Amino acid sequence: MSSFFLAIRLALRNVAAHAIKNLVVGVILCFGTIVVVSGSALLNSLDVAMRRSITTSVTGDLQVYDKTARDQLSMLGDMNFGGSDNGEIPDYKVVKDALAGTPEVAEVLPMGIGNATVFGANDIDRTLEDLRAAVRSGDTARQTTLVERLQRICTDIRPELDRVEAITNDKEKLTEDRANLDRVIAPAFAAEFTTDPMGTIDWMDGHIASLATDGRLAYFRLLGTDLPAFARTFPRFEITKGGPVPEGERGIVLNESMVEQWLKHPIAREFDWFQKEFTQNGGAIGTSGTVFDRVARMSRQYRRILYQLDSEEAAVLTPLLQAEVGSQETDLVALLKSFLTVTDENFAQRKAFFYAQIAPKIRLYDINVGDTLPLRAFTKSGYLKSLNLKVYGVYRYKGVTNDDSAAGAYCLVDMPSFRDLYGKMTDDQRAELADIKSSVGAKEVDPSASIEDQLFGGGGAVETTVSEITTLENLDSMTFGRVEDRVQHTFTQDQIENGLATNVAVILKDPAQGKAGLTAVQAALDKAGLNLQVIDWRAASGLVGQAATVVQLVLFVAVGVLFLVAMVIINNALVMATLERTSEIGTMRAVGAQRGFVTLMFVLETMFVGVGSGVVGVGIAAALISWLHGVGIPAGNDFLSILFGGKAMYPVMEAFDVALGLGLVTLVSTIATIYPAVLASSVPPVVALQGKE
Amino acid sequence: MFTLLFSAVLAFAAPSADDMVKMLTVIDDRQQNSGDYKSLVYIENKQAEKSDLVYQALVYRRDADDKLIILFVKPQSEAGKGYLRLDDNLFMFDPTVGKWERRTERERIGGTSSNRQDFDQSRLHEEYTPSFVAEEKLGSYAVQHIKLAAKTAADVAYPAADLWIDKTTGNVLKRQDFADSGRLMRTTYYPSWNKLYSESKKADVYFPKEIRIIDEVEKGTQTTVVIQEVDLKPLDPNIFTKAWLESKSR
Repeated sequence: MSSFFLAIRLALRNVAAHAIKNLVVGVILCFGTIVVVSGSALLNSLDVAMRRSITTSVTGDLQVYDKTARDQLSMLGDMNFGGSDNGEIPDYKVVKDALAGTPEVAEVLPMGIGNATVFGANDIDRTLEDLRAAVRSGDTARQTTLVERLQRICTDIRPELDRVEAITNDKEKLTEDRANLDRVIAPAFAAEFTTDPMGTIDWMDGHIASLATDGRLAYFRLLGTDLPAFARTFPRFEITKGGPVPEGERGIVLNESMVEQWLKHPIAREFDWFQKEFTQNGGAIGTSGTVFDRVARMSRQYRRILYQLDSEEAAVLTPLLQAEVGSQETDLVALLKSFLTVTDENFAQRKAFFYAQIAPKIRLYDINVGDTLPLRAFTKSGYLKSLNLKVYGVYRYKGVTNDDSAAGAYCLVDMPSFRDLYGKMTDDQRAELADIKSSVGAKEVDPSASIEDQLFGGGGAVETTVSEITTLENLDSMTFGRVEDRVQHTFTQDQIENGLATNVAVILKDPAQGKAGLTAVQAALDKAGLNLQVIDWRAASGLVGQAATVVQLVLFVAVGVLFLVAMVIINNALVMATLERTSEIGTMRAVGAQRGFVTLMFVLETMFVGVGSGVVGVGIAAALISWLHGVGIPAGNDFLSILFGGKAMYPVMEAFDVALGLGLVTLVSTIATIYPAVLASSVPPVVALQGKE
Repeated sequence: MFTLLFSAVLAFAAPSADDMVKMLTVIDDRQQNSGDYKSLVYIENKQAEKSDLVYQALVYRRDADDKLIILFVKPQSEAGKGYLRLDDNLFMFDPTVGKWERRTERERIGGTSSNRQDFDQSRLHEEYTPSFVAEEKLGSYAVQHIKLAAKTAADVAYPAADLWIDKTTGNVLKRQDFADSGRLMRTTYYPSWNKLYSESKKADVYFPKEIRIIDEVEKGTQTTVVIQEVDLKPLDPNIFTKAWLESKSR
């Protein structure tokens, strides 16, 4: 024991005696510690941030879905572009009941993933729709305004036909289109309209509306769920416009990112995009490249504004535009083209003018809170199903703004509406189809045999004379009842829970115990005899989760490589430092020190240096992480904002990181010392003293 | 008279261009009614790995004005939906949302492989230029195989088609539609035809008893249209309006 203390004393003396050498070794060890501690802290913080970001947004800690599903559930994007088949859970309530007694589970939530579209009418279609409403309500002033708008649109389209003439072979159609436009542009058209408003609207529907550019088709990725429970369960969910869907009522809450990127006026989106490019990427319009091309195209999009302006609005806007572009031009088209010619110098002013003066006069968003959205989806059975849903609000996930990832793209709808659009057929509906089929008795053809042989192989008469049928007369008077009566407008909690879901989100009491929770949930489902599978949040997040894993792996490898390099340097430094002291070892051996004692002394010396450097390294790493926690690591792009759970990540250092750094550096430095120490102590004292090692 | 004309045209193995236009004109005229046309049709769509789509619909035609309505009456969930053709526009109406949408000629009626042309009057001689291919056999029937190229101004779903016409009766038994690229898009069979005397036309009006449409793009998808009943009496003058179709769901 006394020799051990002697070794400690000698080791401490040596640390001081070889201060410069130990300082060099200490600095290297310190660097290694900083790399390990801060790298570990960053990796762990990223993992925690990502888990929090994803599990508190939409996936929950676990997801349950059909074990026989063709595709794996990927809530945040997959390679199927929304066309995944995740199977079905016929009755959510059964799953809820099965998990009710599982102590690890805090909450479960039904979910239904689907897609829908909303047909985007073109500007003439929209104006005609407004005009039809104005005629129905007897608002003659509004009718006059809208007719004038239509005349302005037709006046603008008319010269386009001259360009069409060069490329079309259908001159007859072109002549007809010109005549139709001239009819609307003519001053007499206003009077003509008043004599037969609805007839004229129908005529314009058939002859004029198709001449405008087609409207945009908007795609919606829907997540049906128990909306009040969703808001309670996912803390990062927040309504930014409007309000939640009232309990027990049908409705939709749009996603803010989706609204900004798909439903906003195209000119506004261009201004927003340029702004983002300039501020985030430090871009300028320049003389070539994407920004330049898009800026060049913008002036040609003046119709996007023009076609939405009423006469009064156009009259108000004209002098404002004249002042803005510094021109006395009175033609609104020329003024708009000039206004939309954006440069680096006038960009900020033009954007501000657009939002202040133009945006209030046009439809800034295709769909607004309070609108009724005519959603359309192909059901699982192939029928086209439509549903009007009121837009109650717009939501986002706290900390994530305007990302274009799939993560934020779900629009939330109530569960009964999801089920309607999903269109799972009831037994009654199947029976109805069977009745129709059997009443007609169409001949079945065998798909495995030649259809031509089946249809034409038997010969027989091709023609048959039939007699007049009069039963169809009764069908003319057939009506199908009010549409409002076909949809159930309110529903109970039981109706939310009793029915189909595509997946179920599970929130664990202790999210850190994900694996134990997953095992317990799977066991509960198996016990209930349900053919369902459970995946964790990382698997459920799909492409985002996979990409995040890659990011983490890259970071881990980078930290590992840095640490490895540091270790090689440490090892070399220690070998050199130890071998340089061979004569000292020889002296100690000559005065009676055993080889084990010499090795122990060197190991202890390095341990002291290692621990000391490690402590300093931990201190520096702590200061670094603390500083990063204060200022945050900016996300930089939308993908990172998902991983970071916001615009920036604020890393924290935990005891584990400190222990890992100190332990690893001390261990590696100690191991690195043993070899040279053993080597040096194995040199015979005489040789060592002669310096012939 | 038609039969005589057909016999004359088909007597020659390789009909001239004029003869073929006459053949198409006869086919069109046979199916056209000078007055109105109404039918009850059954549409069934079979698709691999999916349940069958089944509809019953009323088809209203006023051939003189190129107007068409397809009004779905069954199943209950689809009742009231419909299509309205006015001039060159095809509109679709969905009473659940109360909205009209302008659709293209390629619209798959009710999500099936059928399109507007399958229900509308035949306009082959107006829309296509024919060319003779060969005399062939289709099952046990001798047929004339001709190629059709769409005329420039024609508003058709596919720019090219092949027809197989029964040599004996002059009825179309088979049709294949091709895309611009030459890709075969669908094959349609008309295994039997019915004819019904029209008071307004003072002649028979022909209509296929059933139509079998094979989707050549989505393999395994097949649509059967059965024309169950036809009525040639005059229709209400206001029937071909958006308001009329909307009124069915009020």
